[in-house]
Amino acid sequence: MQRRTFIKNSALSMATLPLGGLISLSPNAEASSEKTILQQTQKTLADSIHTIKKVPSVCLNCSTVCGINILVDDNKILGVEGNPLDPNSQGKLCAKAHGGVSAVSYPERIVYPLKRVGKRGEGLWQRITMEEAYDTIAKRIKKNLDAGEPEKVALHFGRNKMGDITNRFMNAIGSPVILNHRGLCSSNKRAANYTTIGDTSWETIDAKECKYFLNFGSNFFETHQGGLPLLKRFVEAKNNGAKLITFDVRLSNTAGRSDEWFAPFPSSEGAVALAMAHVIVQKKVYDKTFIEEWTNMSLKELDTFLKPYTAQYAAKVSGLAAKDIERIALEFASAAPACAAFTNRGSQAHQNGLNNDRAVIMLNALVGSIGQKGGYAYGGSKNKGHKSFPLPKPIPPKPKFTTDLEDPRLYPLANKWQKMRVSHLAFDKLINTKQKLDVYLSYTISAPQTWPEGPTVAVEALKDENVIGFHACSDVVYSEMAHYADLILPDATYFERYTIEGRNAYELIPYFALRQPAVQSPYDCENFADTLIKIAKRLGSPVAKYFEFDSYEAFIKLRLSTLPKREGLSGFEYMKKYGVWVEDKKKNYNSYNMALSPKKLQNSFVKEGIVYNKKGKAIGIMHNGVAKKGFKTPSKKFEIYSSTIESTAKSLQIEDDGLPHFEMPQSLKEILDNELVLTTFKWNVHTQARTGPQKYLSEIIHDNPIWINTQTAKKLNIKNGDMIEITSYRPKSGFRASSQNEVVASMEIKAFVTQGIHPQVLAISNSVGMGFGGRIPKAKNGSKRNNLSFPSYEDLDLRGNIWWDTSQGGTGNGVNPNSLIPINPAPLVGMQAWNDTICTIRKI
Amino acid sequence: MNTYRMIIDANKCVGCHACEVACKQEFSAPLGFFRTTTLYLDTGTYPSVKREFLPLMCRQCTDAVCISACTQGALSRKNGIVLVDEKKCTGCGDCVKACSIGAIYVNPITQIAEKCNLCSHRLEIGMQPACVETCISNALTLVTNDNALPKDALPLKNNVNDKPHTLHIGANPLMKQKLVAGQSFSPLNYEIDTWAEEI
Repeated sequence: MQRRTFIKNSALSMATLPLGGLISLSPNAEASSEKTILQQTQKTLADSIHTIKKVPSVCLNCSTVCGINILVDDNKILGVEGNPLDPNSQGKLCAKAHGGVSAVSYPERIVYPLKRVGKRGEGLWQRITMEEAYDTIAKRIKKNLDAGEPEKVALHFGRNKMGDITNRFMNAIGSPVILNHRGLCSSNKRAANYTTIGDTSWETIDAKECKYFLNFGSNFFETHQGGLPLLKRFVEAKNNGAKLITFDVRLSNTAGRSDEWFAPFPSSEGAVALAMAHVIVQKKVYDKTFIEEWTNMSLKELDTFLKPYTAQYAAKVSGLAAKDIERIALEFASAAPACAAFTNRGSQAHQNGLNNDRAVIMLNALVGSIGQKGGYAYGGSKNKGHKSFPLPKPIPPKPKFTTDLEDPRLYPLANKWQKMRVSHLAFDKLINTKQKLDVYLSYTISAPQTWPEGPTVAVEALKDENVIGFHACSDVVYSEMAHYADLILPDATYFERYTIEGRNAYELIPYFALRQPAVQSPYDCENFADTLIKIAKRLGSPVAKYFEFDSYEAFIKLRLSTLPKREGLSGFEYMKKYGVWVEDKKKNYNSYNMALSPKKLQNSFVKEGIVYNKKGKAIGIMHNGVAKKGFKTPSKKFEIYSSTIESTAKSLQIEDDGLPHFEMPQSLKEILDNELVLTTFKWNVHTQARTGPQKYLSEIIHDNPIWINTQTAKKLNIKNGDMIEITSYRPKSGFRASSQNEVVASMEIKAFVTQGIHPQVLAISNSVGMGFGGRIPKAKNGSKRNNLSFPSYEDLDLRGNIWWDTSQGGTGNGVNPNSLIPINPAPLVGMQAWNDTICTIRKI
Repeated sequence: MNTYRMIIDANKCVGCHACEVACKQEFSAPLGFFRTTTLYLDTGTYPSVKREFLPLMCRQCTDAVCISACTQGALSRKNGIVLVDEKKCTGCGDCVKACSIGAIYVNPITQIAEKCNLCSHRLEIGMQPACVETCISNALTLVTNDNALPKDALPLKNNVNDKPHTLHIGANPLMKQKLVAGQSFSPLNYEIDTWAEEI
């Protein structure tokens, strides 16, 4: 059938895309009308409040994973409310949680599996059956397994949350090529935490009891991972007189509501923190016992290390006043131990981000707030976690080899503790090295939208069949990623599937939660985990034997089967009923200082102060004659000096004494008067690319003019709303370093002139500027495309009420700034240095 | 019979928009129209800049001008709540023109006036309004029978004759620049170039 004929035919009467039917989803495809049920004729939550059924579950519109009750009536999801049993979110929710509901019945949701029939990226699709989809993928994988090349099969995911099944699948087929998004997110922060305290997640401030919040760039009013539980407790602390100091280049909502806001020059946070440490040591307002007994440096060594980092030095590199740095250091110390210095993703997203974050964490050690009531209570981050639930046997072994794609040799710290990877290099490597993929499975990522150089490099790789032989994408909407696939799998929304969940426990008592389906997925939509299970079964020996369960639900049931009975219910039944499991334990303060149990000490031995079990694994440290748990670092102490960092750097011929020194990235150090630093941020109503299609969220934020300081704008004669041309340059050090100011890209963007930003800094958000995903993210009113999505469902809002549509005089849907931002992995860890981009601007 | 009064503490608000999104989800409100909205205002000069918020919704006025403006008798006040009778409303919009802050709109699809009713359907069964229930900072509280009214709570007037029943704490009067008497809450207040003070 010719494409044009198909569109014409289907426009006449089709309420459903028939099996085998073709559909054009290219951005320029023609529109047509069809018979529909209008959302506006459906009962609202208010109408149904008397008959509503509550299904406890967990939100996934961001990574904070708050407990929700899904409000269901007549098999339709009408809303959500906070699950008061969730110990983290305590019954409260943010805008994203409420706005996420519209994803379920978004008229342009993908509901059938689709096979590409035109050229890749052309947007012409044919509806197929799920059976055909499973067979197609299984056959293609099998071909590579039979050829002894399992590493040609890759799985790439973002906020996956089902690592239990995705890792099992990859291990079973024997491919190590699992790619994620960690290097774009938080790997420097995590690496700082790991090297310093050996903990595996975010810090968990005992916020409710905290008196002094020393915040280096966290925007926990809007987006911090674990932000909502932190904000909930901050509000209570604030009502009791707590103080909040925020360092951020931009006036976020957090900065704007802080007691004091300081805008340091980008990447200088480490210098400010070291100068505060210097003040604390010089003025002797430290916790001598903690430093001497629990850190791996003496006061004398600290004094020597900190000598160059005076407040005057930090003032020079940060642009802040030395007297403010001194004053705040003393205020912070005087609130100890009920004080916490913390970060989120800003200070670490620089080439020097690892040491920035190490320096900030160190402040807590100096004043003795580590693990204390009201302090930097890292020990609370122990939720029960995936590892506590047994995986059904047999368990497939991990592959015994790695490839440079997921284990890049140039960034040896990336995968040392946790699989953090450097996936922003993956597309470039696929294009420019011999390593190619034959099967690429993508899930919960939108690389063209959210990757640095995504619109250019990621798209180039995704389009090229010689680079990626076959691409199957599981997604809820027709996203940027799905557009470049060969096969689209209709995913379940997070309201329609299972996950064992949990985040660092802000009550400092371990807990976990269960995400569960509140309704069945519509049409052919299927949780990607179930799709993988079905593909695995088709792969036969030796893969299928690891998947002898019927479904992901059965798998989750098995994993929860060892939980003790509560209220006479099995673990699975209990979790279905309440959604949350809180351990019967005391608050986890000072976990490093706990004595090891006699059971743990059986057959143990002590060597140079470290306690080892009989297998020779270090399990603790001798402290004043008692065997204690200590920190999970090599020295079992809080490591200001890191031998791991020193030796890893050495392996790359990089000189590093293992101390968290400050050194500004070269590009920023050598910035010229006419140059500015481009930074990025997130809004309180959006999460990366996934919230774009959610109408009540995009209604609030849909546009992303670039923030520019009033004084800077005045010099360049730029007024609010003016269009400017921005040109970005490659960094002067690191990946593709260029001392010649090689241009990355130029772009025209609208200016937002504001007092709320550092004069040398520009800020632009992601999350908007999408070219795909339907009428809401594209900000285009109109009738529904004759497409695969909910064949009999329509929302009148999308036909004419998108008031920000430019054709109605609105501001439109913004721009995707990522072509401007160079791939820029920081040394050792590979964290994307999002906030190091040098650029110039001019008024158009 | 209980009477209800909303207390809005702007000092506590964190600007998260959960209240208005929960509200729109509760009623499947159309895009572009708001029963409740949160205004932003940046004040000061770099580097001394602050951000302020103001959640706004129908103030449930005593002697409400919207009630007297309605020629159909579709608006009435009960238990401290101004209610729309959907059966009587003709969607003429006279009530919209009467309100000095813009707390009423006519739904473009149903052609019926809609406004905050403090989630009467929830109050009837002992629940809190959707906005109050989700508010993380307790910036929104519903007081029953005027028990323990905070002393610093004041009526927010945009017209000298307004008689708001709802009381605000810490509302910056400059926020009123963002309101147009007689016009429903504008979605354009969400555009960030409207956040700052007029300079």
